[in-house]
Amino acid sequence: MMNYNDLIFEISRPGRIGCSLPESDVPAVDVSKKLPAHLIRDEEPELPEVSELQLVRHYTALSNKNHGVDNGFYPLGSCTMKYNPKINEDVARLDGFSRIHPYQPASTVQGALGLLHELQEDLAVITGMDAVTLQPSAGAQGEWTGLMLVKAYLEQKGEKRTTVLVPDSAHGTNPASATVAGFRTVTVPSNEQGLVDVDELKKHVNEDTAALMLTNPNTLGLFEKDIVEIAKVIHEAGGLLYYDGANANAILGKTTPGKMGFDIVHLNLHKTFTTPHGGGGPGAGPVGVNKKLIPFLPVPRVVEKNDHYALNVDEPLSIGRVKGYYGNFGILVRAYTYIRTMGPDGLRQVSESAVLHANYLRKKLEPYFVSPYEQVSKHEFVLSGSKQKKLGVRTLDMAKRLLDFGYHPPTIYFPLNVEECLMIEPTETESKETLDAFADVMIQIAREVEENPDIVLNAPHTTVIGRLDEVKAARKPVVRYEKETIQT
Amino acid sequence: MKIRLTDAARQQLTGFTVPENRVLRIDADMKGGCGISVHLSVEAGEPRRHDTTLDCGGGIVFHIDRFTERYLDEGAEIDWTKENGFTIGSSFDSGCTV
Repeated sequence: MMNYNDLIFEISRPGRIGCSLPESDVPAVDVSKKLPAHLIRDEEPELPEVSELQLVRHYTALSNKNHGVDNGFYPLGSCTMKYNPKINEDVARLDGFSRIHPYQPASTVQGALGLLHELQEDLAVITGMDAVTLQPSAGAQGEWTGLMLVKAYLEQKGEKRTTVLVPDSAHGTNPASATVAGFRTVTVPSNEQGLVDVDELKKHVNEDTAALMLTNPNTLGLFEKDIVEIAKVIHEAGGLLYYDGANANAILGKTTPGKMGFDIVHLNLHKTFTTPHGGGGPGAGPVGVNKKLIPFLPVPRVVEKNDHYALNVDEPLSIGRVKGYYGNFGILVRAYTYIRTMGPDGLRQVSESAVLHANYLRKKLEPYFVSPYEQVSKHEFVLSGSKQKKLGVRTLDMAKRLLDFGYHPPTIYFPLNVEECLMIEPTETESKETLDAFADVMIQIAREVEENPDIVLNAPHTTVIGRLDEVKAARKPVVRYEKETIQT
Repeated sequence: MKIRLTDAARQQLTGFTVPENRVLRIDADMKGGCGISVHLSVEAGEPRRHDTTLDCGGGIVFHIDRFTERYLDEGAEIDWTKENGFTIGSSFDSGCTV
């Protein structure tokens, strides 16, 4: 039987073709007369030669090996792998949205501009901000945009502040974005409860503080209960408070970053608002700001004038464009559809269910793993594999074992301040039966660690590819097919 | 498995008394999230089930768990400097809690 798990190069047979092209109807060109000699290859490229059907079967077999929310539980903490409703796709494919061009006159795309305008307004209400830009094409670009707004605002005030504070539990993108935006980052340690240590924060805040970047609930899934005092400390020092919206899934309709005292917010539409994660494809990281920062927002933004929608570009203090055209429009349509489908009560229920599911799982698993924090968690929670580490089994081993049961493992080894961390986010879209089944498997693995550790240490056993040699992959990566390399 | 101790590392470890119920350990720790890095360190830690031991002579015996074994190169060198403490192989970030 043909094995479609083979590399496509291994399926290849000399001379086999997948399509027939017509004879060229233009004269042949001698490339040696058009290109320098060193750019002309002296041997045929090793391209696979397969039939169309072989190609289809090969890639279909590959796609069936993918794990996604559509075929299994995916409790990847912080990433919020919730179900993407199919109605989002239907709406994004409507001709009025999918067959328009960014250079069309505004008068011919009033519906599309109206959707963008309403989405700006909706996200402003949801975050408690005064205005929103939809341009940034990812959460990290949203962070960078927000920090460029901080910079522009401070420069306008004649202040040159160079430091951005980030807690030690922050997403790695926070310090990275701050650095790219030209700031120096300073890490603020968490206290024993996993929250920002306000006394420590005060020691780090000074006249050089441009902003504090904070996720709330934080990356441990814990609500920063001192947020009002934190905001006061930062604002009294003349800094701004930046909200990393990665965990907004936990607060929809319950509170807003605006109420907490934040000045700038970015949202990850692929987390909270069910747009596809994309695997590096198009994304969206809208940024909301309060009144004092509006003049600096990127242009263009959609504005409503005399019952018509238009794109404003006339903002002299704007930081300019951060993305071509108006952001990733198709993604924005999907997020808009989700917000309209759920409505205010539905969005509130999203957060309530996300928090309920996380705490339900946490309570079921706490007897078997170390639970480092006592506080009730929000939409995600962390466990530590430190107990299992003493038995010679690590969190990575347990994550690999989960693959045998068809589950995507939780996020592991993040946040950095929890030893052997497992970070679990079940999301609101899973049933109680799924949560129970996952908990049963986790409990089984915890028992295996005690009674039969080899089965965990050598996992996975049921996947097409077994335990990978991560060391070799990291130190001697082979990313280019060469017949000899594969054969050896 | 064999590892190599520099004179400076050997000197540090020779004079070190491992606390009661602890063992001298080479440990691999992962940190990450989206991308994972492995840090190797020398520490005095609790014994773990299925530890293997590595006798480097002069009374220096390291405990290593199976996880760490995967990441420790054959012939890796352990060095010690005042600035960085113990470093193992190319893992400059490795720390020491001895």
